[in-house]
Amino acid sequence: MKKKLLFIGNSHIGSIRAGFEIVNKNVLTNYQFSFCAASRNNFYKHRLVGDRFEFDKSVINFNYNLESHIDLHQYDYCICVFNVSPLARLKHKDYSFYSKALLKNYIEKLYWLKTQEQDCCDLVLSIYKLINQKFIFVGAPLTSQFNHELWHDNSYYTDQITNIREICDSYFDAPDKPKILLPPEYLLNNSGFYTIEKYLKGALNADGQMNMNPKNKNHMNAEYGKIIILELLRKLQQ
Amino acid sequence: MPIKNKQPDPLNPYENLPSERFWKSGVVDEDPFTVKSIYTKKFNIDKGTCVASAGSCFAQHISKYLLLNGFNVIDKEKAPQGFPESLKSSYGYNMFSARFGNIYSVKQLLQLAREVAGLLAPKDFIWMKGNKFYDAFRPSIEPDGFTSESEVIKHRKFHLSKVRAMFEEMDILIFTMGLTQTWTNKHNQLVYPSAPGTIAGEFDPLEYELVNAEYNEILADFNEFIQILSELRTRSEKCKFILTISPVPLTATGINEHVLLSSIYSKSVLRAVAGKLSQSHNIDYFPSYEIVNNPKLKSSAFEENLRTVKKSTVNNVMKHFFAEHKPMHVDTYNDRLKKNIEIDAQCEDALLESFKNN
Repeated sequence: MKKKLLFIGNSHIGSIRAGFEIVNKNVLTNYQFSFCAASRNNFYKHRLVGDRFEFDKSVINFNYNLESHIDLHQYDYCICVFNVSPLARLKHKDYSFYSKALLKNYIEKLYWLKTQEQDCCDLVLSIYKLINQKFIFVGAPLTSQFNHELWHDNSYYTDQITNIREICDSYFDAPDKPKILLPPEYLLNNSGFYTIEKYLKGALNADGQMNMNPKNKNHMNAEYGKIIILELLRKLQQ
Repeated sequence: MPIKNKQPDPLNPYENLPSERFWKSGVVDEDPFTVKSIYTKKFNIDKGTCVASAGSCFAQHISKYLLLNGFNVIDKEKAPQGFPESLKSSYGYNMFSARFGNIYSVKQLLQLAREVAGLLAPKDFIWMKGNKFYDAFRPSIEPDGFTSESEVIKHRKFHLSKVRAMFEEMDILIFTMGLTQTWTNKHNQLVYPSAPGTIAGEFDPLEYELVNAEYNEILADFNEFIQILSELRTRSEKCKFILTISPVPLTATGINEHVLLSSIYSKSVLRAVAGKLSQSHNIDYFPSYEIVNNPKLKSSAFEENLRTVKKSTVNNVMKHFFAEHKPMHVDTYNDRLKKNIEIDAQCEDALLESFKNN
């Protein structure tokens, strides 16, 4: 029986869906994919009503393979392509140097998820609480460019990335921990933190159209999306 | 011939003194919540002044109130984004200008400065509890401990780099002196904020002893601290200091005497040191201790344990501070103080209560 995967998110769904189109279909034979995307400003208009994810059709940029509402329990996994990942927090100007114990607490309790968009954060957390082990965080891609100075000492930086990756990897298969899929290291440049610029070329929005924003630094292309899908499937098959 | 308009000579030196110079008018008849003339600032703090804060448990209150009132308080080590406010202080964040935890004694402050300056490379600063490792100089900042000795060392190195940055940037350091008793390594004279075996580590009387610092030593330590600071800083402007004494009594004394004697001794010596130091033009003294222990309050300043300072008391203390150092925000600080300020100071000293025999 095919495993049913639901991808929900904002404009970053664009690259995932496009990646889905170009992935070798032999890889997907055991899976059924569904996508639901709304722009970030409208994401909060979706609602979780009991077990059902009710999305506002008027704000949907793209939906694929979906009814007007979604019974989350009918899916084997719900993948959130929205918001930041723990790795993205390193970008903040006040990011310090945290112990492994603190990072474990920070990642496990989902404190990294909280952003200024509280409604969306609450919705994502509600879904996670509802379906728990079926919920996978992918988050938005890491940006492709430094915007400001961060640390002057790379060894602290490298240490944090290593620890975050180790924790997320160990949690993925643990029965009582959140599943967080970080982008594979080869998608990122030597910093371990910025997406290689070539994945920006041909970047896509949630509706599948090209992202024409000249300042775009974090919407990626189909190739990026394909790699994320393959990485996800690899993890699920472990 | 008598000179016109000459004031007659006073009959005694106390005649014509202002009211605050007399116990009756300055204390008995004075409102303890608005004690006139108890503090006159020595220098200004304006919007651009970088203020650093360090010291004992009571100092945590000062830090938070300064921040709430718009002062430019340095914080070189912040919790990660999204980390709950309620957890930050458990990990040593949001307490002081760097994540050094409570600095109870001047000796501890001096030791930190020596380390930052590269004058001290301590060996015995990693303690264990179970299979976890702790930084003995700030054992309470990692409730779950570190996973290895190398992790402790790396984090300490990072922390010292931030303390160095703090020393460089600060225009004023507000330091709250807490204790004279410090647990000391007998062999290398390293000092610790808590006794080994309290949070981590093991107490071995062959290794550790309690030292009760005396006036001359504390004075010399602080002056050495100032010297190291001035050599560390690349700026020409000298750092200013505001000293205050924690009004919080000792939880327990390691000296063979009644805790009341030890507590009063500690505070008296620290007060004398602060008084002497504040004779310098760049060191001010703020009377937290006197405001809290004002007899007019009849010990109502403390909670039932006669040790924890009530929130209303902290408000009162800071009200006197802000009467001189005006808050930076246009809103009155009273509006902000009415907001739910959860300030439960993290205090290693208070842990000692759990070791008392019932």
